Order: sequence, then structure tokens, then C-alpha cells
Amino acid sequence: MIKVEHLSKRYGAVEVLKDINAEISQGEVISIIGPSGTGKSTFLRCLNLLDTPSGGRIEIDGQDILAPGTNVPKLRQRMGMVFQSFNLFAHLTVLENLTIGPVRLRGKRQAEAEAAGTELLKMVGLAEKADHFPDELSGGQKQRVAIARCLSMEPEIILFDEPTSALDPTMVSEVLAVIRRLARQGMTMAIVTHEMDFARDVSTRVFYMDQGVIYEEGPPAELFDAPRRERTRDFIGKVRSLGYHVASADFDLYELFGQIERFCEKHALIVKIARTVQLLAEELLAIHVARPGPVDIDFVVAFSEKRRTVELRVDSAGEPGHPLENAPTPDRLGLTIIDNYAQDIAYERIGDHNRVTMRLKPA
Amino acid sequence: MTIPAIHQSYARQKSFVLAVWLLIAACLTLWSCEQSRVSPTGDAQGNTQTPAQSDVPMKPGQPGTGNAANGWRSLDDLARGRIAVMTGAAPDLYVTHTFPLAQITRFNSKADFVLALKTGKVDVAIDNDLVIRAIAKENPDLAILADDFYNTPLGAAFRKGDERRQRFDRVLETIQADGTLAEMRNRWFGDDPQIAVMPVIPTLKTGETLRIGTSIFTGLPYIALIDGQYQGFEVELMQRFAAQAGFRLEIVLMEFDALIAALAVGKIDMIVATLSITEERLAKVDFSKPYDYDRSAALVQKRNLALSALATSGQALLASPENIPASSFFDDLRASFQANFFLEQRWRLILNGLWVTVLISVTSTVFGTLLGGLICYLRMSSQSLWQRLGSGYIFLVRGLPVLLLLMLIFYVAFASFNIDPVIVAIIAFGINFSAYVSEMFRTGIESIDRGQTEAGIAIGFTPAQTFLNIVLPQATRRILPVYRGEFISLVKMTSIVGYIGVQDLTKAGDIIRSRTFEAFFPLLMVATIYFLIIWVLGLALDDLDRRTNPKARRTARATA
Ligand SMILES: Nc1ncnc2c1ncn2[C@@H]1O[C@H](COP(=O)(O)OP(=O)(O)O)[C@@H](O)[C@H]1O
Ligand SMILES: [Mg+2]
Repeated sequence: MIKVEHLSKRYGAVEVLKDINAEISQGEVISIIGPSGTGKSTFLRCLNLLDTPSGGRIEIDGQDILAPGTNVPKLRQRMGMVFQSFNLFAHLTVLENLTIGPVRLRGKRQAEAEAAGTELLKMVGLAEKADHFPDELSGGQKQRVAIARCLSMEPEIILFDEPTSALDPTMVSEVLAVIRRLARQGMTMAIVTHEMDFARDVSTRVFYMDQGVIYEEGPPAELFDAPRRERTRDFIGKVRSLGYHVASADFDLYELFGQIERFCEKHALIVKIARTVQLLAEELLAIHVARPGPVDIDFVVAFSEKRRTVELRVDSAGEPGHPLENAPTPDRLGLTIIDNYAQDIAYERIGDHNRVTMRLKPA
Repeated sequence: MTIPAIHQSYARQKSFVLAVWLLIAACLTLWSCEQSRVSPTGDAQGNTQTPAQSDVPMKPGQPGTGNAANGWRSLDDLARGRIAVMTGAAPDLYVTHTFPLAQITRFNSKADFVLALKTGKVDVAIDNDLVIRAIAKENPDLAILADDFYNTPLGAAFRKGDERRQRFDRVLETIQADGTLAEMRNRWFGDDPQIAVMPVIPTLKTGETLRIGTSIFTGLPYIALIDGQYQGFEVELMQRFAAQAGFRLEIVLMEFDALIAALAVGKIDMIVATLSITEERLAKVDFSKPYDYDRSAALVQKRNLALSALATSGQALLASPENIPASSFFDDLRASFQANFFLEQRWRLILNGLWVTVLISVTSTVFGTLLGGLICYLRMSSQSLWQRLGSGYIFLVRGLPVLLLLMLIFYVAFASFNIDPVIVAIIAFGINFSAYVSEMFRTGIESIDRGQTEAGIAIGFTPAQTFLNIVLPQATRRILPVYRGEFISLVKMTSIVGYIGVQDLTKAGDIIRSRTFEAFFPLLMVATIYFLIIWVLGLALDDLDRRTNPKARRTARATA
């Protein structure tokens, strides 16, 4: 039904989508997972041309939609989209949100559209809210209305962009239940989501997107239980990471400390771990910036939720050589501290830079 | 609350505001009537009981008014006083030269000039003696301090080199030779110009138009608008000239200080407005031979006049206190209403002015809103050229006082077009309004979150449909309160159109004041009418507000 070839999208110099190739057939439910900022939303928005692709081809039922002369609004009527932030029309009642499209765009009569709208509201369990305004609904109710609004246009496919990410945890399941029901009814859907369990049991296929490409794809059982590639494994193993780039010896250490603290809070790591990471970061970076040559360092903290381990990684440009072993004498104290708190310290030369990795000793 | 209930409570609130305003208006009127009634009575008491005290001016301690303790005897007593003159008229030059230490205030309207004197804002008002005498006659609390201390020729002004000047001089010679001019003098410069009857002079309905600019504020015996007809010495002179020289006469009312500029750019063909022939003016325009001489007189409040001066001045006509009947507040109010509204069909002036004010306000609001929409479109365009054009326009228009914008359009942009000044006013206020509302529109549109636009487009609306169906209804509601405020200031701002010769409501009030020399009643009347206009037009916007309120719509449906 949809065929994407070599799709790319750039914003200025930033290439957000690199070379996307995918095919979605009638009745499939595709889950799209991946770290944030890797272009999942952009991919969805390119499919209905909310964002204009920079290159490649998108075919729908064999028709190239990027060809000039395509009736884009007409095309969008066949593809619904559900947004993270609901985006209901604030000046219209719930029912009017469902009738404006059919009446204005598909030439349905008002009464007919209202009857259909009421049916859809019953389906999502909100018939009694027909006369309410969006600001009188909870987040979960708004999202269900948004889904009903999509359905009112009788689309052939619905694109969901993180439909539950803006919801209170208590409301996530009511929305997921509606999507599950649609899946059972055979609706073709592409869903960007962070709800892994949901993705596993609702989808026919899963795309793992990373850094602008579909890095790995497959049936949910395969992709979740036996990912073939490293970054997929990290992601599935719930490895969360924090990156910090250092370009000068006078970098802002306290900004980094703040980020580490927030990262640890976010992943419920105890304060002691945060302090240890800060201490190690300070010592590691002090040694690295003292090395001759220009300063170009990437510092990464990675936390695996599955294994509950914290890993540190320092990539630095420069002459080959283990930065810690060649450290000048005044840094002996620093090295002692590092040895105290970290284990599995390893060195690797990758391309034109040196990589030092280590793991925090268990507390 | 149901809709009718909301409506009612709303209406109640409005009527309350209206009632309060009318109460304030009534109190002010009461106060003003009391004021005008008290002064002569005060004099009466002063004269019989403590004469010395009554002569002390109400506001002592002004620079140079020291002599007034004994009353003023001559103009020299006021060498350091506060002197009122008409802008640019002969007394202006005279006073500036003769009394360099005086504090001179210049007025554009004789009504304001008399009002300033009556309220003690100035000590003395100096102007043409005939005009001053006419004012003194109608205002028993004013008296003439001195007269004939200078005299300057009056002439009609033409653009340099205009051959119509020679034709005017020839007509002047003819009517001088056959005695018509003397007859005119007798008619108008007698004891009471009020009772003079304007002769019927056959006017041409066809032929070349001659636009003569004048200022209504000169007053009798030169020019006044009575029963909708121009009357007075200068009017007769204009009509005689037009009839004999074969022109179709059109009298154009303007602010006095705008006359020469209007002549220069060709908005009018000549000026007959008690204009003194001065060196300075001769540099800019050509003058006809003098048709009269401007003699001077100085008017003061009677109670400031020295007793001896009062006795020796030949003003037997000054009303004595006994002749003023005691009247109640309501009698005064009725008399004021009669004088300012019914007499000489003045309500026609008011009605006409009201129509012009409403016409200009509503039309320029519509025009300005459409133009503002266009400017907003440019401003929000993705093309930087359009964007810069839009913001440049807004920057320029907002940086310019409306009065200047109005004058620029009238005197510069449309200098060589014979265009109705009402249209110029609509264009000027529309342009001004557009600059403000376009920014208002932009903030309104930007306040609607982008997500709703995206949702509209994702459903299959075109961007234009999305704007009309989704963004516009919401933006309209958000900007309505500010829009309403901007509209109200527009209505009030239109009161400056007199500068380009449009007779709006304010001007109608001014014209009435120039005849009755009463300040408070006409001002309050006009103010009240402005208030009513804003109130009624505001109701229309309220209605829009109600109709675009989605929740009110639902309630309406529920109760239907
Ligand atoms: N309008 C835009 N202009 C510039 N950069 C953008 C724009 N939209 C998205 N990006 C960038 O594109 C990248 C991918 O964004 P997005 O598709 O939202 O990722 P995801 O949905 O996977 O989190 C991000 O780095 C983001 O900063
Ligand atoms: Mg996203």
C-alpha cells in the first residue's frame, strides 16, 4: 500500500532522515520505536507530506505522491494522523470536531455526519461528551476524540505519533485499548511509541529507527527477543545514555554536573551513583583535556535498565595511545580515584580517535 | 445562565454605565449654569456692599496684574498680563511687538477664545473691534477695555500670479463706486449685526467653480452660519464677486491656520477670512486691494474693569443685574438646549455631523480591517521581501501622528486631485487603523497553537481552509477586546477631521459654539453623543463576541 524508497529529509545542514526504505501493506500494524531525536516523527510527517521530503520516493497504491500535480489535501484525507498533543479544534464541540471534516471535505450532509460521529464516539466510549468542548476533557478523553476524529474521515491508514506520551500514566491504557480495538478490526496503522509491551503485542512488524535510518526491522518476537544489531540490543536492553561534548579546556564542568544529576534522577539512580559519576567525569576529563593537541572529546554516560549497570565512555581525538596510561605525574591522584570507583577499564583505538570505557563498581 | 438572561444582565450593566454618565453630564451642566448665573449676581452684591472687594479679580497674583487691584483702565495695565489673540491674525502681530512681556495665548476658534476669557484663563482678548463688539453685546459679563489702538487692512488672498485677483479688484472698485460697498457696511457694521438681513444675490448654478476658503470662527459681522445659510459682510462680498465675475461659488470651511497651506496647494482658489495684509503673508500670496480695515478692541471681564473706566466707557448696553431674571436650573438647561439645539436649526448641524462621524468611523474601520488583514498577510508571509514591506508599513504608519497622516494625504498625496475630504479622512483613518489591527491579527493568529493548524491540514483541509475554519474563528475571539478598544479610539480620533474641512460632530459643536459662545452645553452635548455612538457601535461588536463564543452557542442550543 505504501512504499518508501531512499527517503531523506534535511533541515539546513542537519540530515534528519538519511535513507529510509520501507513498505507497509494493507492491514499491517507497524510500530516504530527508537531513541528520541532520531527522526521517527519526521518520518511519519513525511508520509502525509506535513513535512516535505528532501529526496527519495513515496508511492501510495503505486502512485508517486511527490510527483508535481498530486492533489495533496485529497491524499491526506485518506491518511489519518493522531498527534502526541491531541490538537483538537478548541472552538468546536467534541461532535463538531468529528463532523467538520466529513461535512466540509467529503460533502456529507450534517445529519448524516452527526449520526456517524455519534457512532464513533460510542466506539471510543465518549458518546455522552458529544456536547463538551475539548478543554472540558481529560487528556485520555481528548486523545480518544482525536482518534475518532481521524476515523470520521474513513481513512485507509492512520499514523500515530506517540499517542500516549503526553498522558498521565493512569490514562495510557484507555487510549491503548482503543488502538488495540482498531488493530483487531484490521485497520492499517503506523504507530510511533515508547510502550514496548503494547508494541510487542499489537504490531505485525516493528521498525527500530536510529540516527535517521531504519536500523533494524522484523516481527515483534524477533526484534524484541533476539535483536541482531548492537544499537537495537542497547535500546531493547533499555540502555539510556547521556552525551556531552567538550571542545575546550575551559568547558563548563558544572553544566555537565547538572546534566548528570538530572539524568540520574530521571532513571531513578541513587544520589551516591550521581556523585560517583560526577567525580569520575571530572577526573577523566581533567586527564583528557591536559593531553597535547586540540580538545575534541565526547563524554557518554550509559545506563542499562535491564542489567542496572552504569558505563562511562570517553572518545577523544588525537595521537593513538591510552590516555590514562600516558597521563602526566600530577594526575596520579586522579588515576587512583578512577581505579577506586570503576572496573573493566578498557582502551580501544577506533578510526582516528581513542576510546576509553569503564563500568561503575557495584555499590 | 441562559442567553436571554446573559443578554439582560449585560444590558443592565450597560444602562447603568449610561445612567452614571448622564448623571455626570447633568451635574456638569448644573455647575456651568450656576457659574454663569453667579457672576453677575456677585457683581451686584459687590457694587452695593463692598465695592472695593468686588473689583479684585478672581484670580489675583498673575504676573503683571498688580494694577488690577483698582481695576484696569487701559491696555497698558496688561503689559505683563495674559492676552488671548486669534492665531496669526493682526492682533497677534501687534501684541507680540507691543507687549513683549505679556503671556500670549493663541486660539483657532473664537468660541475657545471667549471661553478662555470668561473662565479667567486669560485677562484680555484682543481682536477685530466689530467682532469684539458683537461678543460684548451677547455677553453682559464682558466689557471693552480699549479700542482702535491699531488698524490693519483686510484683503482677499490669491495664489501668486492668479489673474482672479485683478478681477476681484475690479469688482471691488465697481461696488465701491456705485455705493454697494457703503450699503454693505451699513448693513453689517451697524449696532446689531444679528438683526441684519442678508440680501438675496442671484447665484450661478453653472460655470467655473470658485472655491473660497474661510474660517467659520470669525463670527458676525463677517461670517456666520445661521439657519444653515452663510451670512455676513464677507459672505456678501464673496457672493457679489462670484456673481459679477461669473463664478459658481463654493465656500470651504477650514481651520484658520490651514487656509494658506490649502491655497498654496490648490485645495481652494482664494481666501476671504478677515485676513490682514501683512508683509509676511505678502511673501506667500497675493492680496487684493483692502476691502475693509481691521480695527482693534480689547475685551475683559467686566468685574476687572476699573469703576471709572466702566463709567466713562460708552457701553450703556451693559445689562444691570436687576435685568437678569432669577431662573431655575431647569430653566437654564431648557434655555441652553433651546439655544444650542433648536435655534437656527442647529440640530441639523448636529445630525449632519453625527452622520459624517459615523460614516467616517464605520467605513474606515471596515477599510482598515481589510487592509490590516492584507498587511498581516504580508507580515506573516514566508517571503522576506513581503515581510519587510509589511513591517516597514507598520513602522511608518505607527510612528506618524494621525493628524499629520491626514494632512499629508490631503495636502500632499491628493494635492492635485479634487477629492472629497471625507474620502481622504476614511483613507487616513483606515491606514492608521490597519497598522494597529494588522499587528493585533498577527498576535491573535500566532496565539492559536500550531498543532491545530497541523491537525486541520492532516485531515485534508488546504492551508487556506484551515485558516478560515480553524484559526480565524478562534483568533477573532481573542482579538475582539483589543479590537474594540482600538475601534473606540478611532471613533474619538475622527474629531480632528475639521483640519481638512470636514464638518463632523466636533466641528458641528464648534460651529454652534462660535454662534452661542456658550461652552459647556455644546461640549457636553457633543461628548454625550460621542458616548452614545461608541456605545451603540460597541453593541454590534458585543454581538459578534456573543456569536463567536462557542460555549454560548452550546447554551443557546440547549435552551432552544
Ligand atoms: N522543523 C525543524 N527544524 C529543524 N530541525 C528539526 C525540525 N523538526 C525536527 N528537527 C530535528 O530533527 C531531528 C528529528 O526530530 P524528530 O523527527 O522529532 O525525532 P523523534 O520523533 O524521533 O524524536 C531532531 O534532532 C530535531 O531537532
Ligand atoms: Mg517525535
